[in-house]
Order: sequence, then C-alpha cells, then structure tokens
Amino acid sequence: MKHNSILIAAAAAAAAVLVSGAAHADDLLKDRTIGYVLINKAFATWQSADGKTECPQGFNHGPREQFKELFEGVTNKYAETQLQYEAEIHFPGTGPEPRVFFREAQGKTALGLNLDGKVGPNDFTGPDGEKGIDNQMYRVVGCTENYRGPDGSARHFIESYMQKFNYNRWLFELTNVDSLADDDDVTVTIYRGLDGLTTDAAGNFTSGGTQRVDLNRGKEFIYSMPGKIKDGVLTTAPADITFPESQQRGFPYQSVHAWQARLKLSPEGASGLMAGYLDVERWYHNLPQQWSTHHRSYGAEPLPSQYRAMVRLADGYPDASGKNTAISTAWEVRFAQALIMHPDAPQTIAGKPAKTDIAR
Amino acid sequence: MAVFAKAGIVKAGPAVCLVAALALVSCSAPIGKDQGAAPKVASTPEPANDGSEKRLRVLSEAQYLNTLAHVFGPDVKTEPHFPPAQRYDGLLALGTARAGVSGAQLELYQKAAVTVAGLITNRERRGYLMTCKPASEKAADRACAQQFLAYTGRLLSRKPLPQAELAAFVETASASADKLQDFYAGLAIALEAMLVSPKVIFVAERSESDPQHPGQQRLDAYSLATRLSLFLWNAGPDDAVLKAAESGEILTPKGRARVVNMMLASPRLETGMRAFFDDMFAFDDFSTLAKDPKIYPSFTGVTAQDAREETLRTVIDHLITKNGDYRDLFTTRDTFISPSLAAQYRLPAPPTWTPYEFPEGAPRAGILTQISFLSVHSHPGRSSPTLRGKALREILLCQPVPPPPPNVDFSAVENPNSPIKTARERINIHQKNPACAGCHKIMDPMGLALENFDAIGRYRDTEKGAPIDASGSLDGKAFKDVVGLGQVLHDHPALTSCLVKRAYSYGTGGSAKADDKDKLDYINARFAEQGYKLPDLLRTITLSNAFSRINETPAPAATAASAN
Repeated sequence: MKHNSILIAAAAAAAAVLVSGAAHADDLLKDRTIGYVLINKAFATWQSADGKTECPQGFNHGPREQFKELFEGVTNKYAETQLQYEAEIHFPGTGPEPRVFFREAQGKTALGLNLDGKVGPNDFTGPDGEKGIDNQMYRVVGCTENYRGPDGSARHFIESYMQKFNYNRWLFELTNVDSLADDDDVTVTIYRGLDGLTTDAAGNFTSGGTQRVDLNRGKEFIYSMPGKIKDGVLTTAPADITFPESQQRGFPYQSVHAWQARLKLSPEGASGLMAGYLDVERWYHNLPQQWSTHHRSYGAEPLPSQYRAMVRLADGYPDASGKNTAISTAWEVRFAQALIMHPDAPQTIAGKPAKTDIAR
Repeated sequence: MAVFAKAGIVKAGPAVCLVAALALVSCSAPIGKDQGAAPKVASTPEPANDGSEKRLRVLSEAQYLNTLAHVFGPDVKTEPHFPPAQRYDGLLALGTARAGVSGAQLELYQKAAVTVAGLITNRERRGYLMTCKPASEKAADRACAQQFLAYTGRLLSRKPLPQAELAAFVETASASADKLQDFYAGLAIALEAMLVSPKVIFVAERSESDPQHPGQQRLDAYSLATRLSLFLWNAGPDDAVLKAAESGEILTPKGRARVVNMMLASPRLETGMRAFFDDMFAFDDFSTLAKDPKIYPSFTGVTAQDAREETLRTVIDHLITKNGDYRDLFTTRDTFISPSLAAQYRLPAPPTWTPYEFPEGAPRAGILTQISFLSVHSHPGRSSPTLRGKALREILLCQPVPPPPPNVDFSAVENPNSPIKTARERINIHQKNPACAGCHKIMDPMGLALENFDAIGRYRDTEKGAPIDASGSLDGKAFKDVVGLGQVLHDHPALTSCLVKRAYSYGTGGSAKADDKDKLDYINARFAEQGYKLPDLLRTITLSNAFSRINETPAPAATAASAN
C-alpha cells in the first residue's frame, strides 16, 4: 500500500476478506481481530409487562411532585422552600425519607452480573434463573421513569448524544481471537474513538464504519484485559476502568470498579450486559450537574431520594469505617462492528486488577 | 416563448434511424468484430473531411454555473434547477442541441439571474467584483456601468458585446439607477437582463469562409473558442482564450495549438472532463438511485453520492493526473474511498477521501468493480446481470441494445420465492426463449461476471447459499471472473473507439454519423499511437479539421414545421 500509512495495516488485513469474499461468520475477523463501537447503553432495569411487579405502588415522583408534597400549602419564605429543596439536591441528607413518594424497585428479579462470585441474601436472580446477580442500582432507579425502557428520557438523551457528539465514542477490540464462537483466551482492549457513528438509510446506527483510536486525549480510556468466548458469548476479567460516557456532562466519563462484560458476539455486533461498582459520591456528584430540573422532571427523577437509596443500598468498597462506598450496577449495552484504525501501534495499558475482597 | 435549437431538430430523424439500425445489427450478429475497430494504419494523417455541423445549443446548468464561477468567483452561486437535457446517442450533451426553452423554463433562468445579479452587486462583493466605483452610489454613472457591463458581457456572451447591445444595457442600468436612486440596484437590473439574454443562454455557432481552403467553411474565432471551452472546461472561454479569438490567433494552426495546450494545462480541464465522463457514464442516474432500505440498509444517499465521486476521482486521477492509458481504467486497482464507501468495501477509512489500492488478487479491479457501476446498474432489491451487461455494451462499447419485446413474461425471474437460487439460473430462462435470447446473449455473459457483487456492490461468494459462477465471455473472449472481464474489456477494440466516438460527439455537439467514419478512424489511430492517453485524444480532436470545419448542409424544409 503506497498512499496512506494509516491504512496500511488495516487494508492489508482487509485484503483477506476481499479475496475470500463475503462477510460470513468469522469473516470480519482480520488478523484474529475484530472491533466494536458502542451504540446503545442504559441502566439494566428489568421490567415486568405492566411495571407492577417491581413497582407495585407506581413510579417515583419527580422534583416538581416532591416539591409539592413537601411544601404545598406552606406559606414559608423562598429560602425555606425552593432554596431548601435546591440545597437538598446538592447536599442531600441520609436520614429517613421525608414525606415524599419514593419507592425502590421490588422483587428478586433483576438483570446484571454476579460481580463478587457469591450468592448473597440481597442478590437478585436473573430472568434466566442465574443466581447471585449484583445490581443494587436497579433498586435505586428501577421505578424511575427516566431510566425505564423503552423511552425513558435518559435513554433518549444517551442515544441522542451518541449521535451528536464524538467525545463519548467507546470502542472495544478483541485480539488473539481464533473464533467468535469459542476461544478461552482473547484480549479485550477498550479505547475512546474519534469518529461519528455510521447510520443506515433509516438513521439507525449500523456496522461497518471506521473508528480511529484517540491516542491524544483518549489515552486515559485505554485498558486491556483478558477475556473468554464460550458459545459466542464473551466474558471479560474484572478491571477498574474509566470509559467515556454520553450523559455525564459534568464529567464526560464514568469510572467503574470491577467492571466486566458479558456480550453475545456476532460479526455485525455485540450485545449484552456490563456491570461493576459505581462510587456513590462520585456518581451522585455528577448527576445533579448534568440534569437540570426540567430534565429531571421529564423523567420524574427524585435526586435526594436516590442518593439516600444509594447510600442505603451500597454494597461494595467499604471505607475505613466499614461503610460501603460503591453500589453494584449493570447496564444493557449494544455495540456495532467497526473497523478500528490505529494511528500507531496500540498504546494499551493494563487495566488495574479489581479488588477481589469486595466487602458486602 | 419557445426557442428551439434548429440543428438538433433537423437531425432527430436520421439519428433515431441510425440508432435503430445499429441496435438491430447488435442483436443479430456478433458484436465487436467490425464496430469501432481501430484502424491498422497508425500514423494516418487526417483525411480530407467536411467537418461537423454548426450547432445551436442551450447552455447546461453546469456550464452556466461554471461560467459564473469563473467570471465572478465560486461563492457567486445559485441553485437554478434548469431542466436536464434529454440523452441522445449516449450523451446528455447532445440533448442540449435539441432542447427548447419554454416560458416556464425562462422563469427559472430569470430567477437565477435575479439571484446572481443580487449577489454580485451586494455590499459584501461589489468592492472586489466591480471593475470601477461610481461617482455616487445614489445615481447613475454611465461610464462605470459601461465599463463593468462591457467587461462582464464579453465573458458571459463569450465575445465582445456589439456597441448597440452594450448601449442598451447601459441605458437600462442608468435609467433604473436614476429611478431607484441606487447605482448598484440599477446595475443589477441590467445584469439580470444580460444573464437571461439569448446570447448568454444559447450557444449559436457561426461559420465563415476559410481563406486557406476556398469553398470551405470554418467556425469563426469566437465560435471555435466557445466550442473548445465547452468541450474542455464545460464553461465559457476565459479572457486569455477570448483574446486569442479577438486577435485571430486561434484560427491559425500554431495559435490554436497554443490555446489548446494552455487549456489542457489548466486546472479547469478536470472540471471539464468530470462533466464529460459523468455524462458518458450516465451518472445522472445517481440523482434518482435508491435501494430498498429493508434489503440494503447501509446504502444511503451519501453512499450513492460518494460512489459517483469515487469513479470520477479515479478517472481524473488516472487519465489526467497520471496521464494513464484509458484502457487501464478497467484493470486498475487504484481508487479513492470515503468513510461511506469504506463501509461497503469493508475497509477502514479516515474521515476524508483517501487514495487506496486494492490488493493484488482482490476481486476489485477497474471501475466496473466500483460501487458506482455495480449499484446504478442493478435493481433496487437485487443485482441484475442484464442491466449491467446492457450498460457495459451501451455505455462503454457504444453498442446499443434494443428494449425487450412488450410481451415478456417476467414472472419467473421476479418471483421472490422462486426455488431458483442464482441469477445465472434465472437468466437461463430468458436464454431458452427465442424472443429474448438474441439480446440476452449479448448482455448476460458480461453481466454474470459481475454477480460476485450484490445490488449495492458488496462482494459475495454465494447467492442464497449457492456458489456464484462468474465466468463468461465477451465477443468470443472467455474469462473466469470479473478481473478477467476487465482484462478482456481492456483489450476490446470497441472500448477505445467508443470513447473516441463519445468525445468527438461531445466536443462537436452532435451525434457521430455513418459518414464520420473516416474522421473517427483517424482519431482512433492517433489515440492508439499515443498510448490511449486522454489529453492526447483531446488534443487530436480539438486540433482536427473535423472539429473546426463546418459542413454547411442546408436545413430541410421540414425544420420550420417541426419547430412550430
């Protein structure tokens, strides 16, 4: 190849496909490598058909309803009503819920992964019967419309921002892959990408686009970790990572402890779950910054109540006093196959191994 | 108002007959043996000939816009949406000599003129587009108006304006300026009138006696300048070319050679040749190209646009930048890819257009294997060996294929639930029907060679699970796959003679006729001698007597009746 050094490696790899022909099965594996780009992400919220199994008392109230519940009929001054509620959002208390409507998601069923390898009393069972699912965040957000599918406001904005902006482009690349069906030793490397998502004629995100790796400001998002593929499902070893995040406008990235993924792979895409522990204070600190009251109102998201629930339900990473500082969380994710271009040799850094003694 | 291009109407009847005659021949006898074969004598001088006919053509939208851009700069642009010409003998350009301009069309010209006049005289541009400053912006300034309108009128009309016409435009500008108390508003009105004048919109060629060849006619200097410029640049002549016309230099062999070489060296040649190949390859079809999004969701409007651009970039790069052999366009592995095309080729690509070379041994070689040809000559939901074969015959080899008979039963080939798996099996149905077989035999074997590419040009090994056999033959030359087809096409004599025929027709503005054979043979011979290089071909055509000499055939009496 004579024209563009950037294209050299990838194009040479592509030659095998072009010569051999169609994109069947593992054909998109070039040099035992395949790339994917994130096209959808949402908190994993298991939902019954009518929502009454997990939210028997209905969905949570948002800031406007909570304000009314707290202050209706109260003729107090501005500082004792509006300012008090605003202060509560930024400096929430951890005591019992005041007289506002807030309910955690109920039941024992949830989507997620067994992050600690144990089956504890507070753990969920997956819809497929898998025991030990760690996803306490589901209790926090499961009855908040903002996060529920199919059209929760947060879900809409996550996708909208993926389409509009490239800063949140998240890639993962599998290398040393012998087969997308079974391979017990592959390497997973995650990157931030630089390019827009490829869309089809109807505007849907689709596979086959090119993504250049961000080796400038994206270095901090590069991690690699071992993975295994069994029956077409990839599982990754836990690692502490930070990834670019579509809706973290305060901090446009998300740091997760013991992050791991379980993804069904195909030549055209990957989908499934990823999970890990979110730091409660950090995540809550982002949340009020990114969602204005009107956004929180669309999705009926009661921030102070959520904070109290997160503190109450935190299940990992205890501080010196023994108080848990992180909460198990899971996301449903979808990736589209992408051709990942490396401007130079990949500059990966090893994902920091996750702690194995996660207290509960 | 209805104005008709006289010469075109006169020629319509014989041209249709010629096409029909060729079509009949093409389905009843092997193709490629006689048609367009390059002469064996390589260095034959140009034979005595009577040249071509004078044309009356309508300026195409692209020519109008290119001329404006050359005169006023690329940011003076409008979207006039002039109606497209009708395609004759493989070229839209020939349709411009058969076009009429209706009252409704004239409104489009006027709208464009209003926009352009406004852009030129507005406050942001007048400072650098005007050739003078009025004494007062609130009153007429005849001297300044005259200077600007004379300068502009010469470039837009492709020759200096006669004094009386210039005076009329100046009077319009001055009277309007006085009435509106605004010099620039008055000037804009005169400019608008100029932009819709027949001398701008129509190209009316004029001839004169050739003093070197008594009894013969030639294009006059301005008509020759315009014919050269529309051919090579797809725009009107610039100041330098007009100066060569004004001085008469362009009418001397040495002077014409200097002008032609200057035009061939200009960056505007790329614009001109993009327009020519876009026309020859019938890429106007991309304007309406759509694929079934249920079947081919990845094929978007951007993909179609980029596919057209990929081929044009390849053509210009190969034929002009690299001065390559025309035949190698059908075997080259060099191309350009964009992100949208890369997704179809399953290649990574940076966000901009990037040169790319398909690897040796890849099934992509030549422009036939680019997404443009493959997608535009397919159905919305499936590939079509017949459409591809027909396009290859008609567009690249200049061999017309007649339409199917009206009573063809397509049900067997269009049944989506058919047990038949591959296109080759489907097409065999036609081959068994004598009414269809004649023409399908000359289209399908080449089209089937492209079956490794689906309707959007993506590579495939199989169709409905059955392996694809891409072997075939072209006029007796067998090949095993599409790369082989490219090589056979490369060596096919009609490939180069077709380009010659199209380029000559495009340049002179009319269909090549049977009695043009000697001229085309000469150009073909020179083309071969010079290694099938496009700039040399353009030089041969533009310096030939066939290009500049005028055959003054009197118009038949039926012309007036047809025009009415």
